[in-house]
Amino acid sequence: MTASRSSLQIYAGLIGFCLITVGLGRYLDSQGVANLRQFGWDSVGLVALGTVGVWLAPRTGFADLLDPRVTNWQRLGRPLAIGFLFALADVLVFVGVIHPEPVTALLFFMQPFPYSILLYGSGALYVDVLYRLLPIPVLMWLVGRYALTNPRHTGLFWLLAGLSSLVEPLEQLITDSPALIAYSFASGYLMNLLQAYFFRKYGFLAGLMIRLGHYALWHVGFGLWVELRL
Amino acid sequence: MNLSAYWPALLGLLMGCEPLAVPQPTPLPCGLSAYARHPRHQTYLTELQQYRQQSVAPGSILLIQKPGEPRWIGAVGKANLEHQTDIQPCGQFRVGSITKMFVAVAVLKLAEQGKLRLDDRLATLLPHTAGRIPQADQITLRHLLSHTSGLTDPPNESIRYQLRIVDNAPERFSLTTDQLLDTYVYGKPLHFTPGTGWRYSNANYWLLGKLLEQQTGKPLQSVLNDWIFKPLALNDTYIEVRDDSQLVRGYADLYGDGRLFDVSHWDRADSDGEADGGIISTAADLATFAEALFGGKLLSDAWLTEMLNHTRLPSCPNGDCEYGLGVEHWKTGLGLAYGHNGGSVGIEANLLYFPHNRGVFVLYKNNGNGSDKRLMDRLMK
Repeated sequence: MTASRSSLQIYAGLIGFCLITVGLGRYLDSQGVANLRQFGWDSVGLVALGTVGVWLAPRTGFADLLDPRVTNWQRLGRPLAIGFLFALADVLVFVGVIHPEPVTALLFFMQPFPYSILLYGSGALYVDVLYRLLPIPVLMWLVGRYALTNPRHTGLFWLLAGLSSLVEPLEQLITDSPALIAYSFASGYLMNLLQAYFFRKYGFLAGLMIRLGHYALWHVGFGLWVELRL
Repeated sequence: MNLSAYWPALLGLLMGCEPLAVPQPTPLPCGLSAYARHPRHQTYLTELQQYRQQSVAPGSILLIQKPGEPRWIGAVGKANLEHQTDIQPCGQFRVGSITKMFVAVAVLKLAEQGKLRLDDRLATLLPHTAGRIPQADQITLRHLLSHTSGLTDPPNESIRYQLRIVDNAPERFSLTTDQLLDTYVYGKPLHFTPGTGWRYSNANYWLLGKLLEQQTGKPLQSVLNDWIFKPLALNDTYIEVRDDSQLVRGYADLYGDGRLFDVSHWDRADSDGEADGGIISTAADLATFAEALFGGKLLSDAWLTEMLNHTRLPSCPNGDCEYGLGVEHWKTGLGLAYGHNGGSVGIEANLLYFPHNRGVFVLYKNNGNGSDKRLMDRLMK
């Protein structure tokens, strides 16, 4: 199976979304908006490189980005809801345990609305390209093809999914009580692993939707709520 | 009111205030040109410029003091990016945890005077900690000074603490040491049984600051002022909270995209005025302090030796925790050096003394992204 033309077109649209983020970020910065987090050109480059992953994914046993066998509920609705649930848990832990005091300013994981939609939308794409879309299909293609004579090897997928899912939660491990550290790691690992599974079974958009659901509430919605209360 | 009970304490304080026989330094020339005739001026300046560039710091200050050549101080870059102010060799900056050396000296002076013993227990010294800090009756003064108490370290271990600064720096700034202890230390488990491990914790020095104030009946700034700053004529050094607009500003690349943000308000909220990292000073004052301390002018030989002795524990690498009492042991290419590092979100400072040649090295930059120690090896040869 190969990537459909429409899959590549959709992905090109996602790259375009990142370009808009860069442009708006630079414009807002020039207008003196303080503490603005930028989406860099190097990040756009990485996302563009993800086209290789879109092309390789169906060749290594993943559903195509717009696989006709996958329903929109499987590709968009359900993963989005799962992402919301992860974010809801994070918000509850944050306001209930980590920072019970009223939040009085945009925190380091928040940006002004509506720029936050662009930044964290592009950010979600960047993270998913970095941790999944590029490394897993490329390694499956290389290792599976030349070492296992099967680039669709299910065991190899789970090995790569298990290992790549470790990276983000370890990078973002918080320093606090053992219970909070355990929560942070476990929820991060589970979400990344679920993303890899959804990517495999329902295509790249499904995996991405979990993260978009999470970011929509955690970064964008929570940030907007803080802004409205200021 | 019966005043007689206070006389021994007052007498002790007067003895503590006795001036030290330390040469008084002459006022420091501030412009870089003051050191232009130094025989190695260009070498040091080039190294400093490269260091600043490589560490992506707006500005950096370096002091080199070695036998056979005069003291050299250089400064390159900016103290304040917003106003494009050049950093000066005599610029005042936050020294971070180098403060712990000063606080340790003050505590050891009390011990020298017989008012404290290193084996005194925390629960006895600060009775309100009993029942609030686990095993407070087992934690000794030595454990606090050497980071072997097992206490938690909120600035580095608590995301709650860090978020409070980021979210509302003025609110965190307004917290007293007692409130900090109450919120972030009391009731929290120890990392290990006191004396069985080594783990750096700023909370040890919060408690030592409280102890100094309790023992002397004076605020911390008065203790350090009377016992160290004034006797050594460290005229540009203080710990109390003052207007910080003239200090070198601290910066950090918060988003990892190369843009630097002024984070001085976070550094201020985190440590200004506090015993774990609140001192403001200059490169020259730090060097004068190191010279006096390691030259035996602040503590007697016996107490200086006690301060410098390695903390040895089986749980440390090779049994050596590379820490004494408020002083770090650095294994450099030139042998063992004593001193301390001070790091925060927006600053990085190092003060080192090389006993083999009595050299002093001070390096500061206003970007809190760590520092490259190779510069020291090259320049202190």
